[in-house]
Amino acid sequence: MSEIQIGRLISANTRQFLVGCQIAQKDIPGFGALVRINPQPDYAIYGLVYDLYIADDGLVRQLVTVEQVDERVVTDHRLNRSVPLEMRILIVGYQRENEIYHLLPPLPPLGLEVLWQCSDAEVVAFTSVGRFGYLRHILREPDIAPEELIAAHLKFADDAHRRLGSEGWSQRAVQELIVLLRDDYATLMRVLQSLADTRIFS
Amino acid sequence: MPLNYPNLYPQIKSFVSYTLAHQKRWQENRQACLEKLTNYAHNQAEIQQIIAQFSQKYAKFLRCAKPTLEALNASFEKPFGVMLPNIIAADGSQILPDHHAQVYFGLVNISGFVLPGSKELKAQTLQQSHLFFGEELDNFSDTFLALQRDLLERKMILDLGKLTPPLRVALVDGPLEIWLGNKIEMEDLEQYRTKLKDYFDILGELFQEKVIFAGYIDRPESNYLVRMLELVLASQSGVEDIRKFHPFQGITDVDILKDTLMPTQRSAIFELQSSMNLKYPDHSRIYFFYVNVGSQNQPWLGRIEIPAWVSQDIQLINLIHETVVKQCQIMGNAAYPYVLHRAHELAVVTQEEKEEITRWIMVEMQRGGLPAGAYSHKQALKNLSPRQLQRIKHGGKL
Repeated sequence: MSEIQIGRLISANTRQFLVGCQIAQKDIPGFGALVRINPQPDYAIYGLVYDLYIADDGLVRQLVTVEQVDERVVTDHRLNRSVPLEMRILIVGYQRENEIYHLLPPLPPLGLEVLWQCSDAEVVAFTSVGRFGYLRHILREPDIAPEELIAAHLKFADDAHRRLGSEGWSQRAVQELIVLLRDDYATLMRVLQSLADTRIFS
Repeated sequence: MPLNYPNLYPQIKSFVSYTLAHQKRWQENRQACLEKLTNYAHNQAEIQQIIAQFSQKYAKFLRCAKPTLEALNASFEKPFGVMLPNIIAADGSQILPDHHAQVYFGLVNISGFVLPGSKELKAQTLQQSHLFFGEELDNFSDTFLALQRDLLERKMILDLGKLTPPLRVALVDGPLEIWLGNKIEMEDLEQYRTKLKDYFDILGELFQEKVIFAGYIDRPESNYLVRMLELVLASQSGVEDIRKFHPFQGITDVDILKDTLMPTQRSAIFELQSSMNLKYPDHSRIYFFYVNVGSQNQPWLGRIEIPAWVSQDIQLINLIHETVVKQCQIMGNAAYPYVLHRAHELAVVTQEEKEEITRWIMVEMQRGGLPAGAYSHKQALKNLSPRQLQRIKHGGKL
């Protein structure tokens, strides 16, 4: 399993969780990336990054008014001032005893659990199970820009598949999306327009 | 309960009338001060003699500026240095013991912040918390806890100074002269003497280590220069008892310097004439100058206090001058040294933290079989939710 530790859990419920990490943290997963939390050795919860947020504070507001900010001040702010970058993760499935399920997990993760970045092999394993059932968790949340999240995630997952020599995954994903959204033309069009901008089919 | 606004309004009107009435006199006094400063700009020796004469009888009451070799109304441009020094700052915060709280304890939280001169290096932070309880709080006073805090700040500066490679500039917020309070009771005298000696030892080590040490006072209300000019006037007028002679009362040093110091310029260096300063070791007697850290349209003067050994080296003065100006420029229109703000940020103890520490102590006391503390009845009642103002909605219902 991947060993790139990203951050730690701040809060959670059955559908999503909030993770904090240092701004200066390397390897921060981007929008649409698949990540994992392991509450127990044989139990993993998978999620997609759908929001990244950096809180402001009074000192930052004051510093930005200056024409040129001293580089030492920028470094001090990022490394010392404990300003966390917060990531909101949408839960899309879980793994128990080596079986992957595209269902919501029976139990949410607990506070301070470590968030891990998924390796290409993990991404391929999770996204290849069943018939893309996890995509419905994204479509069910209208407030998280689902079209953009789907497009970003498909690009992210397609890259992982290609790196491991797996072709055709993204076409199968899009076909499943068309089936899922056959009765919602407006959403389907928005998703396809977003996907067009990913250029994964060009 | 609400304020008595009808009762207050005429008093507010009186306040404004009083201020308007005194404005004219204030302007006249300020003008007189400025003229005196200009006329005596190069009479440093004469002024030193006047101060010496009044000191013979009134040393305990004298607190004013004493000129050095620089002209009284001189202004100096900010130098342009090549090297960026490593800047050390320390600040402290405290929880005062409260008889009405659940537990009677005091706490001082000291922080240190080091901003390296090199962009390749990371700023360093350090925090130390000191709990005061039991016999340490016998004959307690707020002044004594503040004194403890000041000493610990200076100790932090010294400790960080020893770990930081030269070139090092160290800043604290506030004067270098530590405050011992207006009146020290006889039984506390020995304790205060010990603390003062501890402080002198720290100053001595800073001098030995050549840590360039300064205190920064934001928005200074001091009138040291003005008092010096009052002594000149007293001497000219034949006034002998200067204790009640304050013809320029209400005028501060900033009032007379803010239009003469351009942005980034500093004033002349002065020695602080005070009975306490005379007790300081020669190398660390306090000198000071003013610097304009504001802008063209908005002058903003800070006072910088430095030890004697720094004041005697123009390169060190220039280094402090440039460092303070650059640090203030980082903060834009809220000109205040960045390192001091960061040190303050690290030191401050929030209400939540105070409550957390109180809880910790109570939990440990209970584990030790000691009874849990409780608020006094006075505090418990103060802690009750305030009464909400009722709003009558349409129809007369709440």
